[in-house]
This record gives sequence, C-alpha cells and structure tokens, in this order.
Amino acid sequence: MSNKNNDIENRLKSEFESITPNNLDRIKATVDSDASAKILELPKKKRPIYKKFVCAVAAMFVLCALGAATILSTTSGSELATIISLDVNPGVELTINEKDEITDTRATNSDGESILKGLSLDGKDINEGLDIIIDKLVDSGYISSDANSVLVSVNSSEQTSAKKIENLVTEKITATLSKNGVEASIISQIVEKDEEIEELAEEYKMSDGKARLINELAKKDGRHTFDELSTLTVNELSVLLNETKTMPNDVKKHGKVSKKDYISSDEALQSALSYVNAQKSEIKNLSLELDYLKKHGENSGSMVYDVRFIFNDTEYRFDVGAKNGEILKEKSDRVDEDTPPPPKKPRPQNTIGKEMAMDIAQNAGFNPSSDADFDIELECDDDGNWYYDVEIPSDASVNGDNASTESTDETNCETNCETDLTRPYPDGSFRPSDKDDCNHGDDDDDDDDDDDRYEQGDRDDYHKPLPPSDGDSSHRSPEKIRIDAISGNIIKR
Amino acid sequence: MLSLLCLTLSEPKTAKEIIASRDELLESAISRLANGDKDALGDLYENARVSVYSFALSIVKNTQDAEDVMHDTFVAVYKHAKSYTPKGKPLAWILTIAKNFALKALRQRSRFSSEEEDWERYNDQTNDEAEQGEKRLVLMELLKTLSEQERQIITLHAVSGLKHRQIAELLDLPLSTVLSKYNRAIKKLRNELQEDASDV
Repeated sequence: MSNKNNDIENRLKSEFESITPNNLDRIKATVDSDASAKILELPKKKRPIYKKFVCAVAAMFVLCALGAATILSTTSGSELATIISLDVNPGVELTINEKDEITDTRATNSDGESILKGLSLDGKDINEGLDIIIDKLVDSGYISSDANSVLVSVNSSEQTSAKKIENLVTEKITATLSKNGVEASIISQIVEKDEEIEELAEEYKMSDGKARLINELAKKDGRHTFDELSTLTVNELSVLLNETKTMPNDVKKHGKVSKKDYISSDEALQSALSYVNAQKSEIKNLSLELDYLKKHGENSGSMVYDVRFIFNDTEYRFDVGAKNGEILKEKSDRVDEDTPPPPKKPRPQNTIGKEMAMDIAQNAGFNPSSDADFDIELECDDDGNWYYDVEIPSDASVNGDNASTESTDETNCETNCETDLTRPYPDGSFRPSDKDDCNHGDDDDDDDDDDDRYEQGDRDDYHKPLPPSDGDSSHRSPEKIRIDAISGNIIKR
Repeated sequence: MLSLLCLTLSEPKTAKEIIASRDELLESAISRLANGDKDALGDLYENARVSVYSFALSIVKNTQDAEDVMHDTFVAVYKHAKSYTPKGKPLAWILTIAKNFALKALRQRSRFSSEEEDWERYNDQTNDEAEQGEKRLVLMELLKTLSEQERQIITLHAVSGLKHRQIAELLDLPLSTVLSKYNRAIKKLRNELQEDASDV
C-alpha cells in the first residue's frame, strides 16, 4: 500500500524542492549582526566527569553497532528469508531460510516471550519447530477446543515461496493440533512490509500480522475502528471474520472457528424477547449477528449478539452478551405504523470506515473532548443506502474553546524558573527566566527532563491541536450529523 | 571487509537510507554549532530548509510568511543548538520550533485577512515564479482540497519523511487520527489528479 502513494509523494517533494527559496545569506547576516542571536550557553550543570566519559563510550559503541548493522543488513538482502508470524494470544515470529530451517525466533508480545522461554529452535526444520511451539501452546492452555484459532502471517520477498510456506505451515499446525485432539481453525495471510501497519503494531504492542488483520477487518466491517478491535483475541477476530460475507484481501480461512464458549443465537434472541415480554411470533424484521462491544472507558469489551426487531411499533436494538446472554445495551425507537422499514440489507464491503467517519465529523465542527464522546452507528435507510449516524452528547463542546488555554500557557512559562530552551513559548520566542543564573541544584536528571519535554511536549501547553478551520465557527453545528458510508459526504437532513 | 564497504557504498540508497543520512548530517551540524562552529549553519540549512519551508507553508499558506518563519526558525536553532540533546530525531526538534513560529505568524495574519485571501495570495505569487505548468499541479491540488491537518500531515510525510508516529507527536494527534487523515488526504489527492488529467 505504501508503494502506491510514493508517486504522489515524490512529486510533491520535488515540487517543494524547486520552490523552496535559499536565504542562507540573510540568516547568516542576522546571526552575525544580531548580538542577541549568539549561541546561548546552558546553565552550568554539576555533572561528574566519569559520567560524561561513560556516555561518550556508550555513544561510540552504539554508533559502531549501528554501523555494523547497516553493513550487515544491506548485504544479507540477497539471501531468501521468510518470516512466519504466529498469533494466538501469544505472538511468536520465526525466520526461515531457503532450506526451511529456522534461523531466528522472536516474541511479538509478552505472552510470546513466555512461550519461547527455554526453547532452542535455531537450526531446526520448520516442521519440527512448529510441533514444539504448538505443543507448548496447547499445554499452556492457549489453544483448546473452545479457543482453537491460530493466525499465520507469512512475509517473504518471493510470492511463490510465500504461498508454499503458507500452505506448509497451515497443514502442519492442523496436523499437530489434531494430534492434540483439537480441530484447528486457521486464518492465514500473506503480508508485505507496510509502514502504516508497522506503526500501528508498535503503538498497540502486537505483531505486524495481527495489526494487518485488524486493519483489514476494520476496513471491511465498517462498524469498528482499529482501536476498538485491538483488544480482541485471535479467536474473537476469527469469529467476527466468520460473520463477514467476503474475506479481506489475501486472508484465508481453514477449518471452523469454535463458538463453544458462546450461547446459541436462539438463546440470545430469547434473552432479548424476554426483556420486552414478546413472543417470537409477535416480532417483525428480525436481524441477528455477532459483533463486538467495547463500552467507553473500559479496557476491553466482549463479544455480543446484535439483535434487532420490531415489536409493538417500536424498533428494538440489543447487544446480548455472547457468553451469558446478559443484556449489555438496549436502544429503542418508535417506528411509523404505516411504513415499517424493509429487512436489513447486508453490510457493504467498501465503507469509508468508522475512523474516517469520525475524522469527517471533526472537520465538520464536532470537537468532543475525547474519542469516546462520539456515538457512531452504521445504519441503513429505506432505500438501502448505508450511512454513519454521528451523535455527540449535548454537553460536549462543538468547535471547542482552544483559544482560552493559550493565555494560561504564558503565565505558566513565566513563573517557571527553568530556562526551557527545547520548548519555545507559544509566541515563538525562547524567553529565559529573569534570573539568568538560575540554580538548578543537583539535577542529574536534567537531561531526562529535557528529553521528556522534547519527546512529548506538555500536552496541555503549546502542543494544542491546530484548530479546525474548515467548519464555520460563527454558528453552532448540530449535535447530530449523517455521513454517507460509501462516499463520506455529509447528508443534509 | 573492504569489499563489503564498497558494496554498501555503490548500492542505490533507499528512501530510508537517505533520511537516515540526512538525520546524521543534521545532528552533526547541530553539535558543531553548539561547539561554536558557525560554518555548520550552511550544512544545517542545506539539509533542513525544504522540510522547514514546506511545513511552514502548509500552516501559513503564503510564501512571504513561510520565508519569515524559515528565517526565524534557523536563527532560533542556531541560538539554541546547545540545548538540543542528540536523540536521532533532529528534524522533529527543528520542526517543533518551526511550528511555533508558524502558528504565531498565523495568529498575527488572521487579524487582517480571511482564508480565501491567503490562498489567492499564494496563487498569485507562484504564478510569478519561473516554473509553471504540469509540475505545479500536485501542489495546487494539495492546497486547495485538503483540510488544515490533512495538508500538514501529507507535507510532513512526503517532504520530510516523518513517520506517522512522529507526525502524531508533532501535531499532538492520536496515531489513529493521523493514519486516517493521511489515508483520506492521499485518496483526495489521487482523485483530484485523475480528474484534472481527464479534463486536459
């Protein structure tokens, strides 16, 4: 995916290169003439000499290591290496050579580390290595007949090799699990290097393979953002994938995912019916499917049955816990007696996605205090058009007041004794405190503090998100907007 | 060993390698400045000016202000070279400084003109420049069709080679938002380019 964007980006870069002026002389003139533009000395810090020495040696060592790594990496590209990534809950990564021998192993999360502990797989044939790993996963309880899904992601520079390995690994895992009395459900995908996926994986502390799968699922499903799906286990992801009509790109399913942990759809329906005291024969327009519900502010969510029907001129929507039948969420709307809505159409595969809908809403002036304030639902109208209904609780800000925080920034900075030279004040100047010889005392940690400020800034301070200027700030936006799910256009009510 | 070195030197550089060597040059220039070597200013300027100018322009939207921001930024970097702690991300530090000058310029400018005037001014200015025609196309579409944040994100990614993560830190946005806006912006640009191509 990154490669496709390179052409536009390269053009942009060369355009900017051609229009950027060269004003070095003017800058040099300012620097030479302006007395205040001299290079500022940092306040003297008491720092033992040996610390400086240790830092210097460490720095040299790092530079050497980097140098060595660069040389090594540029020459090892000629060998064919395939990376096989496995995710259950634990994540492990195996690198194999052309002879299908394991040359490297790595854990992609902390559970994965405990799996790899004590195993020496280097040099072994991939089949043998998989046997050992799968056995350990079963013994440790990560795979069982109740949770039988494994995600296999293969990354190889050569396409035919990748497919061959994908099949080999899938068959081997199926065989090993069968030997352990478990019917395997395997999701496999061929992955390529992708900057966006790598960054997501790093941010959410998961393997690239899992990040890619979640990203693809979020795109296909349209109901959830990446963030919402990030806490799902591979088994839960597998269950959701089962619900989608077509698989995401390059993703294959083998075997049946276990839903033994869950109640049946009939039981879920019964739970919803009892809630409103209805009989199955009395309801209309029933739709029922598995979904994932994560409530705002909670660390993880749960699998639910999304149950909808019309009863007594009211459209009901329930999220029924898939494990215990508990009603977790309930919504109802009165419907027009004369024209009941048609049965739900299958969800489209090409929605803009929930993340983008949130972005569009923000550009239109919705500025909730956090992502959690958005209430977005993917709905379908009578004509079969899909849209996102975006709602904000009425007390959250619209076109929020960013301006008011700036005045407090300045007072905070001024009362601060330290000269923070890595962090300019909001007006762009670097104002040292009035006391130039301000004593910092014994701060060996001074450098770390500077690093923090440089790294993250003080989020309440000058790092304000730039105010959205697309929305018209002179009138209040409505608290509810509707966005077309395919085009992203805002639909006028 | 020597042959290995020769191999690495003769291979064409990937984008990643170009960015890595640029960052090394910038860090070395900043530390030379910190040690009083004024000549390092030239190296610093050469390796950062396009990034600074493009980012400034993406915020202030007119070339006059962008030039002033660029000037102020490099003077400030020169002044505060000693306070930079080498962490391998010199450009992010420089761009943070640039951002603040750009926001300041924006605030001052907003008292006098509206957004449409900014765009007009930019279009007038670039029409005066020597280079015109096909080459200008992407830039124009960029400015016209994108939102503020989309424009800044695309510029930072395409011109300065910042990763999405670094962009998120610089603009104080969540990573997922940056990714989402980036994807949307690229899509918009691609569509605009296709439309313009079919019009011609």
